[in-house]
Amino acid sequence: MKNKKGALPFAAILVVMMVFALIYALVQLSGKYNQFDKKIGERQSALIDTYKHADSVLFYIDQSAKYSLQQSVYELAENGGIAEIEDTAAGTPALHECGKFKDAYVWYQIINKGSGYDVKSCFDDNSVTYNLPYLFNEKLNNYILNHPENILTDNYEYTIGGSLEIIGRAFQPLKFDIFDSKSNTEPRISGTEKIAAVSVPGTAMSCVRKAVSSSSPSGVSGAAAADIPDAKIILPNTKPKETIKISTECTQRDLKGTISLGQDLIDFTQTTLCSKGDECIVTREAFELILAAQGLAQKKGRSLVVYGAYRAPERQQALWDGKTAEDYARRYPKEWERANYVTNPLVCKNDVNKCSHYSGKAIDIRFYKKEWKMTNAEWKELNKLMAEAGWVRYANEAWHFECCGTDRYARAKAKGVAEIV
Amino acid sequence: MAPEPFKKQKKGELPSILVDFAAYVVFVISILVFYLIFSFQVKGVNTIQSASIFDKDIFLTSYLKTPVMVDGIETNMAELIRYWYLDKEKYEDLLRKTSVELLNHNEYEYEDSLTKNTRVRGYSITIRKGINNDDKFKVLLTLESKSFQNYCISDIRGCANLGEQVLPVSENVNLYIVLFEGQQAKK
Repeated sequence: MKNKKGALPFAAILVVMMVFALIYALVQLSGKYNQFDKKIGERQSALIDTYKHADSVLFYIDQSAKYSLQQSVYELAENGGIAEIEDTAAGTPALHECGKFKDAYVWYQIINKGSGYDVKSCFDDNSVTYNLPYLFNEKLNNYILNHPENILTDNYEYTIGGSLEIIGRAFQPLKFDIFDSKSNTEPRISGTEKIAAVSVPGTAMSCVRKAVSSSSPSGVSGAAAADIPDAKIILPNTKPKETIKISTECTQRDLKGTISLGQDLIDFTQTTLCSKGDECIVTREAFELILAAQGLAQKKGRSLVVYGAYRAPERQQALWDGKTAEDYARRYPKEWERANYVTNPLVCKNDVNKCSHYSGKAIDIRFYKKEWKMTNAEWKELNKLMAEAGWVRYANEAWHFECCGTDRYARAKAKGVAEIV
Repeated sequence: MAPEPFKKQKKGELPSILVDFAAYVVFVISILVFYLIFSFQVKGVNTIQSASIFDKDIFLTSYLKTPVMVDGIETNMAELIRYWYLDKEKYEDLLRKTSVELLNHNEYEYEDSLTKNTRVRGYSITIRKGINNDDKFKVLLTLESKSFQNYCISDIRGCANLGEQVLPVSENVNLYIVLFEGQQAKK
């Protein structure tokens, strides 16, 4: 057969090109993936260990739930079935409407009005259905905070079953790092759980728990300087498990105004800047301002701790709908009354500025100290320090600060003040 | 048979010897490339030195979840430990008796691959107060199976901790339960 011109050189060129293509592919692949530096089976072994560790924590929570229920039932009986709920807005208890008589809550009130008697019933027979989960949650939170690790508090939606059975469904999964912070890749294991329905000796109750786990290629950053927390970026409208790992140094570098506001959120939960048991997510700019405030605080020998930050609309809806331990919906069936204690999510829907915690640019913050309570002088000191760092305070709450263009922030800046209603 | 006459090269056609040479060169280069690829990949792979102890914690968790009758009510070992902490005088005997029974029941024999003698694995559980404070090493109670010896299964730090569990007692008190495993030759 007659060869065409250039047929043989073409074959040789093709082969040479293939060799180059292979080398190129090798370079690309090696650039794409980190070197495999784990021992065979190490990842699987770590996964199993993490599962067991999670099981150990769940066992602690189960036992704590059991004891919390026992104590709650005891205290509720002692208080005549009444539990004064904390008014989250004012930070003080919402007092029982008929008050106390000789240190006992009044169930039934008869007031002599001169011309007659005013009779008032102050006890709702069904109140145990919301008072018990409320007390129970308070106790469980205390147990959880006493655990050496950082477990989220206020993290369960409770339903009461027959015969003193409480079932808690977690809002957020428990998260455990499979590898330590020295690891290059730090996938996490997440466990969505229903905590135990618990038992009191002498009563018939069952125990239900379901644990589901999944892994995702997210992680937290490695060790950092003591005064600067580790943090991770969360893409907007994504769940925390879809996070991107960054180091603290990277955080500081990236925060120099290179990323547009409101596009990214930073999660610094489980860092020294976030109160144990709480979730702390803010925008990048807010995070930078928190770091600035922390820097100022440290110069004065103080340390700050954030205990409230971004709140998802779903969480606000759950609060309003009575799906949290406070059970506002059953406690205050009338919406106008309930609105005194929790913001109606409809209000936020119509005007998002009314719910600044939605934005990730509002925080609740205090000085880190052993005792939770702060003196007036300390609140004033905090106020001054936060204003210096660029924050604006909500005038009705000593602990609530906003930044970065929220409606309240803009109004305060326009007026040239550091606090505003 | 007469040999074929020497074939005349056509215009533009490479001599066959050159083609063969090019094929050898390409072959060698291909081998080298794949050698490089595989050597690069194999570099990072090590065999695991010692497999993780996969039953770590399972035994301790099972022990703590074991049902036990206390004052006529069915509860578990974890709660019995709590009762014991709150009233040692009343519950210590029950805790000791039940625990030792459970630990003895779980002892097992095996032949040591080096010495070829039969050994018995025993367990020890220590109850310690706290985990985050100065009481960390304060052992409140030790429960041992009959074959446990201080020649425990150890690593470079001493007796290997085969399981640990934080147990709640009250809202501000935790106990720290630690499991050790020991061995002795069968008598």
